[in-house]
Amino acid sequence: MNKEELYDIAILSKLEIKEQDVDEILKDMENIISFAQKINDAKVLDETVEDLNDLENILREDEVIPSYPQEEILKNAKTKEDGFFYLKNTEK
Amino acid sequence: MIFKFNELLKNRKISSLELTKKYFDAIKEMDKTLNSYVCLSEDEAFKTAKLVDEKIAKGEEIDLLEGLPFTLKDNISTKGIETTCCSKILKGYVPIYDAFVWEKLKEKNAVLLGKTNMDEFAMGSTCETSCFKGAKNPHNTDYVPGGSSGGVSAAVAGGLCAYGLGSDTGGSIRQPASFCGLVGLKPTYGAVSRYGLVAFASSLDQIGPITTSARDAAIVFDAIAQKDIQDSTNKGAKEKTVPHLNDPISSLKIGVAKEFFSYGDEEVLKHVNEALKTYEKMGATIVEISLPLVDYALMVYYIIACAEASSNLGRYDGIRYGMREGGYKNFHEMICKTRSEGFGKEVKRRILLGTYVLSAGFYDAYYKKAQLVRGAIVKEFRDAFEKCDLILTPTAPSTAFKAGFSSLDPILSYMADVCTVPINIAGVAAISLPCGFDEKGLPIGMQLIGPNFSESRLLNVANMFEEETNRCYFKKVLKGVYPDEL
Repeated sequence: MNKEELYDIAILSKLEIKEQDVDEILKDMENIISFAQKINDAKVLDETVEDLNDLENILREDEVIPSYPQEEILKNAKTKEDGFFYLKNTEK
Repeated sequence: MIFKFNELLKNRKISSLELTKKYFDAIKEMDKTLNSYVCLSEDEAFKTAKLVDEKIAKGEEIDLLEGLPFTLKDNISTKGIETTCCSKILKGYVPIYDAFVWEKLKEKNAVLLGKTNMDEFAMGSTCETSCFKGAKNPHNTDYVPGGSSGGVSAAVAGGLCAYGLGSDTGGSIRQPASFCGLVGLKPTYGAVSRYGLVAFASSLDQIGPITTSARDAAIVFDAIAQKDIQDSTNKGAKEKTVPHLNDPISSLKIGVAKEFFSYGDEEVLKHVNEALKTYEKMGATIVEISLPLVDYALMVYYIIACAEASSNLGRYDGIRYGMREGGYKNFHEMICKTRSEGFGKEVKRRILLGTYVLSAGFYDAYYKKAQLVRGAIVKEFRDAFEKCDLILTPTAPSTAFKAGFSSLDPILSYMADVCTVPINIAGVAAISLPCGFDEKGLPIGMQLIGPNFSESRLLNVANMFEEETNRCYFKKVLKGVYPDEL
């Protein structure tokens, strides 16, 4: 992984990477990736993805049932207005 | 322990209110050092304790868990009680609903003392990545209690609660149980509902008990392992486990796979081998088996767990809950600043890795390959259980680490999970139970692995070992609250 790739991944991850941390993060990522690469030595004959515990699909009628009240859902929001999550465009 | 506490409550030797108060007093005295709790729920606890005392006063029957103080790991949602996953990003978050497991224990009038410390978002094996600073091992406070459910284990081992619930994604119940000399059960994927468990890696996460005995683990498991339609991967337990605790084990076939014995410290292996001999003495047969793909389980784990985490943790955007960082110029910057400030180093590392293995160009080489190897590991375990009933391994290659371990090379700290991770990959059930102490006096744990929904047999085989060895591997280490001292 190079610096450019790291910045690309950071954008996808919605994370900021500070210039002074780049070298350390790159070193860690390189180590972990080369460790993970060993997986390609594993010989897999059968190319199927196994089901963990024989799960079956559970279907139900599409009925309207009561949900949480709006004010409950908004309880943990930092900013809200008129029953909506509200966010300013910029904040100093 | 649960049974003894219940007797004391029923015979009115102590009231639930008095017992709860004793626990809070012990926590206030000893937890300054242990740092096992991150939040106390005194109002909730005293309210329930009072209710149970009223029932007892009226002469009503009480359940085994009724009126008994316990704790929950801080990633299990509790309505009205802060749930942070020990991450700065969730500080101040108060859930508006209860996790299924807490709902089940609430129905039994279990007394919640508070929420316990953990590695941030359950990512770690030492409890040290917590934003509240790590918990300490009650056996020796220079050492970590393990992780990620380190706070639960420290609290149970220190006598600061009767039992606790943790979560296990790659060993987070079993390894801390092993480091603290306790019993920890990782149920089969789908046995216990994940509803209300803050998601880390959804195809690996399971909730389970951490207790001082297999019997206690069985009692707690029976209470929480019920069918729940709110978790589409949930089936509930196959049967109640308590009635089978004393089933005979003379026809038992225990599998031993050399792959699990190639990493352990000499002292750990010695005690695990002695435990095998004890089982042989009890009439069990030892069968040699091989699980060659287990060597790849750790890589599969870090690819799949990080991929799922990068997706699951996408929800922390500073809009709907948790913290929000100020000083942003636009929407994208607000989210980036919030996440960069709110997540710790290890969590960010895993999000980056997960995003990388899922990104175009790398998906097939990592994620898809990991899924295929996972499938092969599932089959390998299924085949192994044709030859034996259970598999016995060390729980961890070593005893507890000295504080500061997690700041070392990440690969080195990932390697510590080498014996526990394959079980989550395969989705099967496993239990860790104490089987000795090393020269420093730190507990050693062994792991019993069973096929899907074999919790009954696992708890039975663990319980019979405890009875045979006279429970000599459980040691009271701190002046916490114990039923025989009340």
